[in-house]
Amino acid sequence: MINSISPLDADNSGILVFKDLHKRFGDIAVLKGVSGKLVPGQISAFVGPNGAGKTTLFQLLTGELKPDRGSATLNGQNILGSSPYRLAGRGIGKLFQDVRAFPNLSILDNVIVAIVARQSYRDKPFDFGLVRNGRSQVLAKKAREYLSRVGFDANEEALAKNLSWGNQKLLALARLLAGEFRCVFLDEPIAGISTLMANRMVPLIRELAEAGVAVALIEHEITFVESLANDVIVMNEGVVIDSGSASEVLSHAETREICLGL
Amino acid sequence: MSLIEPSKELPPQAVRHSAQSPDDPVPAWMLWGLLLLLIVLLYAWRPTYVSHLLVMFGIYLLLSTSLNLVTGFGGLMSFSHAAFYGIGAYAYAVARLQAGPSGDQAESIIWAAGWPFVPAILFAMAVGALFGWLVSLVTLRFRGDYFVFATLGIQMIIFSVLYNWVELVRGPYGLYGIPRPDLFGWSLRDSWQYLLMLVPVVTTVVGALWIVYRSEFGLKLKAMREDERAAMSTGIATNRMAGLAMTIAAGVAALAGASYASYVTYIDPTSFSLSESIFLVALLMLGGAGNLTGPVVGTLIMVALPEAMRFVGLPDAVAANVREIIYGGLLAGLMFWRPQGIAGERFVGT
Amino acid sequence: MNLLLQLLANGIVNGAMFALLAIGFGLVYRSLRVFHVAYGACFVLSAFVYYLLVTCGGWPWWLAGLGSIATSAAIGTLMEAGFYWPFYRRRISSEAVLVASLGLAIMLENVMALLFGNEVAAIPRGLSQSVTLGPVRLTMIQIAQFAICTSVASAVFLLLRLPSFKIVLGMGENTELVQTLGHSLPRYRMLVLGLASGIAAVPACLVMTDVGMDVHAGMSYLLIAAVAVLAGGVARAPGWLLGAYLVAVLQSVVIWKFSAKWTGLVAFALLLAILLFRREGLVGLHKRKEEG
Repeated sequence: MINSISPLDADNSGILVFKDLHKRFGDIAVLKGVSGKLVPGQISAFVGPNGAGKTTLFQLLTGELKPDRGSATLNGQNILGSSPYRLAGRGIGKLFQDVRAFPNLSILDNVIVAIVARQSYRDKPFDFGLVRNGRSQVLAKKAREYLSRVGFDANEEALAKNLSWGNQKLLALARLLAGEFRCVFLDEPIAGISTLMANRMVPLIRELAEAGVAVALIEHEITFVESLANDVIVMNEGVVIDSGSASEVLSHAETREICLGL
Repeated sequence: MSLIEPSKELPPQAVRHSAQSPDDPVPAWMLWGLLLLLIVLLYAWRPTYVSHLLVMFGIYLLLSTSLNLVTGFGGLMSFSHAAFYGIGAYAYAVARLQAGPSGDQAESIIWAAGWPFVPAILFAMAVGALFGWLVSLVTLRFRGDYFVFATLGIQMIIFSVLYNWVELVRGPYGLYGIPRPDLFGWSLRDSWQYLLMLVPVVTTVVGALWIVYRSEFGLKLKAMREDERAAMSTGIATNRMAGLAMTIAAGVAALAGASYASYVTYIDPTSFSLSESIFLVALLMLGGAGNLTGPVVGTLIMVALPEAMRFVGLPDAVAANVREIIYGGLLAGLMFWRPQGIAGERFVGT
Repeated sequence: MNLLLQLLANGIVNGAMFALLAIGFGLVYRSLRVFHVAYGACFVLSAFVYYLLVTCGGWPWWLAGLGSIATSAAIGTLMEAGFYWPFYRRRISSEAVLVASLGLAIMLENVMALLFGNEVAAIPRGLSQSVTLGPVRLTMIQIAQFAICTSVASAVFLLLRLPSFKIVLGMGENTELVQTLGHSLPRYRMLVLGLASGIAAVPACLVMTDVGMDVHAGMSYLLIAAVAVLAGGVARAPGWLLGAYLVAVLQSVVIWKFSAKWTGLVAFALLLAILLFRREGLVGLHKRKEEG
């Protein structure tokens, strides 16, 4: 079962390909050679016990950490070693495990930030255009579209810090949509929110994939993974021990033990 | 179908905030109108004492609105603003002073250009902005405690150079006889005439900074202040933004310094020491960092404070120390009770 | 060559004093996560207490020294209880605490200026005979400085090895540890600040006896302590000593090559250079980033 993952070719069809990623913190090897790929329109779920290296893998692929060894490419071009903002400019987005909405910005501004950050990345790094006058109406209108896509419809001037945890997650998701990324990493998108909210999150994530985005997510909730993921990657102690479709992977006894016997 | 959870979770202050957004421009423009009216009225009467206060108010307004960009918007506590103020003052002074046999003091400094007013002002701003950029390259490698400490050290280094390198700008002896502005052959003699020149300059620059506050650039800085990791993941080059903010702020601080030097005509390094930087941060925090009107409110209070103390009748020798005790106490108290300032948004400390 | 040895000797004597200064600052920064800017003001205050006790009170030097240490420790404890602890309870960010501490330092400095004036105070030295050791000449007071500071530093290091003081060093990483072990956190924090301030009083009295100081010297001594700790590495106490000696030797070289007025600048430039290349300082642990 170990290392049963098939060797990957450096083809450009898979939007994001990573190979043999290694990372250690001090004496602890967190990732010991992880490979895989994220395909547009597909939802890949990374499952496994705490300390398996899932979050570290996400941090490597979003530019927050640098690997000790290995390679990762987006459409054939290297992405390792770039800073997060450059990768964001190249279409890689992230939903943080701890959400990280901008607490003292209004709901609307939270989304506008993502829009202006996307628009201005390459052509105009320094933009002194007004946000709230004239042209800003266009921005606000766009931002409202993203907000209504996730179901926010009221009180757009409220500060993000006054929202409930679940609503902050929705807001972060709206911000992610506003980034119009080609590849998104969701670190435990439904952890800590009510079942009601979780059930509303699922179609949003599915929509994202249907729009042609490569979605990667970390999740502990197996039922959620089953209902959503096209592809499940099981990690344990820094290596991929199993991968395949959800039903396939969960039928393996060893995987079930590792994932569900937490 | 609404996906939003019941809004009963929103505390009442969320609603208040929306009604009174920190970006609301109306009170700011009213304040400006009032100020202008006041100046017109006073010009008819022209007491020197009042005009002096107004000039100082204008200069400190430049300093606090520029510091606000870095500290209020970028969320970076910078204690080197007085150093850029000083660099501007000295750059203006040496650019203006005549080299040659006429002045004995110009002989004793490395360089004196004897330029006219406008090039000297532009030169001062450029030098200030250049230093701001260089300092940002070093200090922006750090965040939090280390950033504050690094700016504090930069402040002490620049002060030490101004104070100890006597051949550069005469150190503690200072520079005297710095020419006042002359525009198109019209020389500004008294402080009311000086005010006539300063008001349009301050209005333009502060107005421009207000536009910068409200621009996409300002919003990106705010996002960086709120959560740098999240800001980077949305695609904001936070270090570049902060570096630009520090460069602009230093340029404007240098303009304030040049205005100061051309107004008082004598400068020495003690006007640009660490306690001046502390004063500036306290002033900004008192008014409220991260919004439009905060710096104006803070500057008004802080410029008025020493005058109020003069009315109380403290002897001069004691007054200077008492003033610094008050600034120090204000700074500590503000950090404890209202880390967001009197009128302002949140700042450091969650 | 002889000159170099002499400079080195002067540097080591000053290094021993800076080491104590750095140990106090480092203890507070490491254990409490407080960037104690007011530490410099505390240092000056204890020096002036010593000055008053000797010149006005007529106390013998050793008793005045003990008096100064006790006063300084008391002030440090008071500072924690009345100033830093309320900040800690409100969970105010460390940079805001730094700024508040800066405010406190300015207040103390100016209160002292009102009380003691702005002139340099020094105690007329009784021990000015010098001793020649080969090419190196040291005054008696320098030898006393080195001996006293080194023994106090050793004593502090021995103290920190006691099991009950292990907690003090562990506090920085894990504040809950103190409470889990059933100790009172406020009391431990007061202990650290009291200890640190007491330690700082030793070099303060010695500087007062030798070259003297004015009330505005606090910031430059704080700079020395902070540079030593940050350059040496916050995580490890031996790093602080290394940093302190490095700063002291560098200063004596600068004084010889240029002038005493550039010492602060050089010390700070050294710090920036080290931090830009090794964030964790010379003797440091690599910080472990968060794990997945």
